[in-house]
Amino acid sequence: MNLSPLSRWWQGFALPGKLVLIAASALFVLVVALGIRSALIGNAKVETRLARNQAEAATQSGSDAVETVGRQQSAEVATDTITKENDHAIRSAQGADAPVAPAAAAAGRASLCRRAAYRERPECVQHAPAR
Amino acid sequence: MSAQSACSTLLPDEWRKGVDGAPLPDGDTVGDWIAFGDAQTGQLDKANDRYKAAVGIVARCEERDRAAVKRSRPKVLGIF
Repeated sequence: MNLSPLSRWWQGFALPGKLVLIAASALFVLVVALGIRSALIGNAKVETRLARNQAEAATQSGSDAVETVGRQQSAEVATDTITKENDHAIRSAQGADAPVAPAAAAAGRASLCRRAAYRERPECVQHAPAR
Repeated sequence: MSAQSACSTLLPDEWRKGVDGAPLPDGDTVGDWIAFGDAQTGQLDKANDRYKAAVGIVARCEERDRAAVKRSRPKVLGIF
């Protein structure tokens, strides 16, 4: 009987060898199938999972920002309270009503008007040197 | 890939303008100028605290975004 080369090759294996070949082939097919499945479905699942996780992170960051800004606003109110209390204490102190020499006061104001924080203030703009 | 959140948009618009300096002294006594100095320091405290708060908000936001991407990593063969 004439056998094909493949049949002759297959018949060259003993039973244990044939079982190993069958198991290895099945494993190979399984790996390829899982790889194809992962490529087709996996990307969609990853995108969904990423979108969900990022939305959750954005919600938590939003809450964090609201709480942090709220705490900062409370702290600034407390700072203003300290400023008012200090102002009262300073002006009530002995010598607080002593006059500052006019030239020194003028130099102090001119110095402040050179700062970016004060440059656009009306008190500084009205005294700015003519260009 | 979904876009990450722009963490800097969490900061109040007002903070972008910075903290104003204290009002200039309205008189010229010793008390006026010392009180101005103290008030200016209060404004400095506000500015420093806002900076720290802003850096914290953005840093924590960026860390959450990184963790979200890491948790979403694709699985090998859909299993691991």
